[in-house]
Amino acid sequence: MDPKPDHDTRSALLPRIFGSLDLVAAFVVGLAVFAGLPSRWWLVDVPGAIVTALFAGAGVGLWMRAPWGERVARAASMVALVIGLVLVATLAFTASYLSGIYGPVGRGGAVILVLVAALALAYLVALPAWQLLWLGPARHGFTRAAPPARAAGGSEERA
Amino acid sequence: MTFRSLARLLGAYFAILVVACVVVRWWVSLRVVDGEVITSAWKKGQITTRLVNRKMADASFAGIEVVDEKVVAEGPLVTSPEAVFAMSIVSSRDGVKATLGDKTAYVTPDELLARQAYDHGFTIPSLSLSLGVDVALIEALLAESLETTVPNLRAHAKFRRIRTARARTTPQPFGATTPDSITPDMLRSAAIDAARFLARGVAADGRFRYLVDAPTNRSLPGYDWPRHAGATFFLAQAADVSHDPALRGAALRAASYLRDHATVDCGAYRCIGQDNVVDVGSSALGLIAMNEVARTGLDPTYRARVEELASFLRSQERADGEFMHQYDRRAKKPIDVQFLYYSGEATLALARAFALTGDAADKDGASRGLAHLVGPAWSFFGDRYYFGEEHWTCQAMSELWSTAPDAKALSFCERWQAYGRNMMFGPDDTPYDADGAYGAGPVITPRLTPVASRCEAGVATLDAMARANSDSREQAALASQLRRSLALLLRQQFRPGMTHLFADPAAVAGAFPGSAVDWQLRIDYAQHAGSAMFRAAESSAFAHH
Repeated sequence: MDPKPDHDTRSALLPRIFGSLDLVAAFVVGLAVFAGLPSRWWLVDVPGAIVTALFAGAGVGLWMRAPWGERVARAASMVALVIGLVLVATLAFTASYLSGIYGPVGRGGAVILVLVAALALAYLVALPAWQLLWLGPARHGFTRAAPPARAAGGSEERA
Repeated sequence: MTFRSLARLLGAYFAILVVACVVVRWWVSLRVVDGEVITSAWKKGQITTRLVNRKMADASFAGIEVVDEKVVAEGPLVTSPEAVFAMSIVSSRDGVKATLGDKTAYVTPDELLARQAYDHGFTIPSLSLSLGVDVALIEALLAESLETTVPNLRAHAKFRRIRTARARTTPQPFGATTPDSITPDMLRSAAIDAARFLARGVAADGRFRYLVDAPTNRSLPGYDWPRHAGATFFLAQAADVSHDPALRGAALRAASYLRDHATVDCGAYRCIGQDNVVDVGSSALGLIAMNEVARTGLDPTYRARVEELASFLRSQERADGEFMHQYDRRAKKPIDVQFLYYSGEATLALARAFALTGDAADKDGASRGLAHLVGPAWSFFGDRYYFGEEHWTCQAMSELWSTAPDAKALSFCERWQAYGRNMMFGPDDTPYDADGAYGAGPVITPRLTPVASRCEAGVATLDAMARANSDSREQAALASQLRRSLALLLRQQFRPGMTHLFADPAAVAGAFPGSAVDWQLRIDYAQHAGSAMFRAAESSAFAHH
């Protein structure tokens, strides 16, 4: 599925939808890392802080339709996607390793791992991947703010 | 980025990830081997001699116990980072083999148990949780055996994870107890053995050996009035059931210690404690202990103490049924704060006091306390999906059932037990003997005391369900759950336990450990398990199922 909505909708609505999703992601990641985890570890805290800050910045930028919003959203998506894929891989390797060492991981352990992986997949893989598709190849400025294209009613070449 | 390029990227990522995970799992898994037989001679919990693949003569005449541990499986061992090393050894099952040059050394599960190295790898302070094996200890033992230094061992030795099977060791008559084989006599006998373990630790002045390190038989520091009172209650129960003079004497000594050294003035009342600020839990469990001493006729004069403590507890109860959990003796006023367990303990204490004294004020206080515990105190969004470890409420519910039945409380207790049933480990859920225990995964060795305390509450709930003619299928499910938990407790009790790993096996006989690998013995471990067994042994509802 290639998300290529018509130009007006994209101009008016999509930046705010993605901006809202970015703000939700910033909240969820910040909450999970800094309130959900019981102790501090720089290896998790630093990436958590970076992703939280980037998503928050992207959310604000897209909502305000600021010229820098798209660049921050792209950076947030790429960083989050990389961290998300690393996190999912780490969780999968951990589960495989523990399963190899201990045998069955038990229903409780399996449910916890699946829930954490689902959270990571939703916010750190699916959302950034979708946002990157929407943003398309890198370009300068905030595309949805380009008045001539709007006036002409033409479609943008996004991807 | 185009959809196609992203799809390719993610598709390749997940394909590689799946293959890599399968490889990782396969690589770290143990391979069955017909390995070495490691023969160790143990005396007073210490290894005196070790041979590998060579026979050792019996030396039991010299107090030496010879034990064979055969390597039945081997696998790779990731030794860095240390946390991964710590988590790569399955508690109570795995040991380590290290080869340096032409020398090989072993640290076996028995050595790690004797040194209490399991579940002492690293600690998560915020969760009060210790995980994994003590890596520093393993490295030190291996370095000593290989006559090298730890840095040299780390740099040059080849490590392997080994799984061993014991042969030629002390028989465990109850080590294969199954849920269906449990009988009331078996439960009574096990509980009395647990009481005898506690009784041996009651000093002439009535103070318990509060915490004992089983491998060394050393007393460890710490004391706690609620646990002293709980253990006293259990000793009184055991003395009543067994008619054993030693248990009777120990129960009376422990009760008198509570009466003479821990009973103080709390304003116009008498309470249990020693500090200026005392807690309600000590008085509640103190009442329960003294009530049992009076009820069983060990010393009927304790009835007066029960009445005093009941008055204090009633004075700490608010109009809504909640208890104020502390009392400031200097300011002579209650402190309205709440902690885990105390409200349930106070409610049960008043219910028990009513059964002894017949004072309607105690029944009223207990009923209001119970209504609060299962009502406003446990009312929040999601309260159907989460329950804590509090195990006194359902005992209070059952105690009150004949005189002040509370259907809402019974329903609460049924839900709590059903929740526990769903959280329970099955026989194939972990590498440990954990069928009937509670936990969230295989990496934490299940604790036995929560199993025992839930059993106390579970049998009480089953009794009330039978009297209320609850759904018979629910009763059967609860009884089956209790049988699995009690069978686990019976298997894990030191009767006699791994005697070769104990400095003084007779001193710890009958004790209940904290877990299969935590052999520090606190007095409440025996109390909860023993009280649960007495309850089950006397329960007609349990026997019926």
